[in-house]
Amino acid sequence: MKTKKAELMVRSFWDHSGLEQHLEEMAAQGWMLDRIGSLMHYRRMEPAKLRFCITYCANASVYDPGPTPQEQELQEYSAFAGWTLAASSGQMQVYYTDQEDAIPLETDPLMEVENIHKTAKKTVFVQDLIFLLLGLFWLGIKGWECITDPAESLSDPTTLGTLAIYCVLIVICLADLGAYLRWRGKALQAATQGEFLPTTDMFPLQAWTLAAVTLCLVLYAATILTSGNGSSFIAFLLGAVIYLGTLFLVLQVRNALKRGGASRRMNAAVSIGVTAVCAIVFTGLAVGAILHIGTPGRAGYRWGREENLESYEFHTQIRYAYQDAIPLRVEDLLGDLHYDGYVTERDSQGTFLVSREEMMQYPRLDDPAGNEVPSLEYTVVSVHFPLLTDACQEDMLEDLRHNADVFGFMVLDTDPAPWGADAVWERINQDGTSWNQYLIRWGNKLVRLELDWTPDEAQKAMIAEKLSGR
Amino acid sequence: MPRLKYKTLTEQMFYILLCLTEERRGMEILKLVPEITEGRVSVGSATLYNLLESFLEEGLIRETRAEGRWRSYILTKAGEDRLGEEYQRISAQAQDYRIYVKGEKRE
Repeated sequence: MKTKKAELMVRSFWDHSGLEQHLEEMAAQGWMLDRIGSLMHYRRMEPAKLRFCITYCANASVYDPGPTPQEQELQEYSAFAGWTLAASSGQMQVYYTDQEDAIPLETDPLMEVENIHKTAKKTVFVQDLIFLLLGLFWLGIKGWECITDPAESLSDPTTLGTLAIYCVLIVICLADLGAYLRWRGKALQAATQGEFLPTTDMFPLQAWTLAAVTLCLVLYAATILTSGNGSSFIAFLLGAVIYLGTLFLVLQVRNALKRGGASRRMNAAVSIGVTAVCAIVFTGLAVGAILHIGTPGRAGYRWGREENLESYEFHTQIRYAYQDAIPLRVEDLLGDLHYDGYVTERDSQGTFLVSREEMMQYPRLDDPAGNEVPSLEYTVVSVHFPLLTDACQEDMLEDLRHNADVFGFMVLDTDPAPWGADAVWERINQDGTSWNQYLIRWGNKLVRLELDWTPDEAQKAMIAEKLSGR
Repeated sequence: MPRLKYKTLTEQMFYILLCLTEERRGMEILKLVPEITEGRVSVGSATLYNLLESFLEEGLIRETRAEGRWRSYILTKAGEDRLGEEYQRISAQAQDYRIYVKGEKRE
């Protein structure tokens, strides 16, 4: 028979009524609260009808080595009135009694509201404010990326995942603060009549938020895993390990210092220091690992795709001769060139909004004969949400126009008919010669194409057949 | 402490201050208030703890002794004044009642 169990503390710090009711239900089922923190630990007992009451000791701290004299004083007062301390976490003190007529811990509603507010200012407000600022900061950065570079950002699961998680975070912070202030206003009014107002039950909101964040993370992991982008998946795993590892280490250090009798100030300083060091060291290790597998230093190496590949060294860098399947090859346009040194690469990423595939075919860089054969490079952006197509088109056009002033070229509309397209733009020099770089739009599909030669009508038709999806 | 802003004390505030006209520990106040009021008023332990902290912050009481978890308190001059003001207020209310309900003449 299970004698212990734990559950997540999915309640707002100030929602004492909801937590008291929950603890009373648990006691009736034979579970007594043992410890409280991010998790609530229970021990098995005989089912009992108990009354729980939560109060807040504003001067206490999670960094205290043990109960402060003030907390001990409160415990003595409470014991005199028939209440026993079940558990405490920082300012929160959870008491219970089996006496139905025991005088409540709180007998002055105004004092209770003010005490909760005094404690909230030191804890929940600070926490909510930090999350809110952090959330708004990242929402601003990622949101701006999505506005200025939709063709890439909206196809990136990391960007969308981050946006979704921070949106949820902002909503929960605002909802929690809003609900608290609303409750406080009403509770103050009730207190002037000498009445206690139960706190707003935040459990449904908190539970839904937890579920939403979990869903975001699962969807994000599934998206990057199925996209074949191993580096992104490893980055995701490393991020999770960094977060959980830092949290675990900081809690271990804090508890060890508490057991060792370190002062509150010392414990807080060391805990904050450990958090900072862990964040820096783990992030450094993670960045190092990502660079190692992902690679400016080892170009061409992509995690999970290096097996059985021929590698070669070029300008001190290790290169891999990828042979990815791509929908359009040089040979489709120019016929068999009797050259077997081509490398073909295909990188994909996508979300429910936009998918993006970057593909290229080029000769091995260490092959002297490679200078004689043409290359091909194209990016296919498929927009799944038609309202975003124009924004992605504008983004890709901007990319095509990039550095026009520096290199003295223009980007002009050209006849889309040979391409079977809705619209085509081309980079053209002032003297009318072409860069052979195009942006082609077929419905909700946009293709940025770069060739080493100027395609004829038949080749344009072949490109349309291979890439338009029509 | 919000009530003080309104120049009134709750019953519990009043009796705690009343108990502290002599040096006393918190535990003694918990026992004494129901005794003085013949069970009409009781003070919750958390309420007592928080009120004592607030009275200390407001300077209405001061700590006289601290032996481990046991602290003793007594009213300050400001506390005596506040208690006196509250007594005057309640007395005035009682006098008004006697005049308008019992028909007594104003003294």
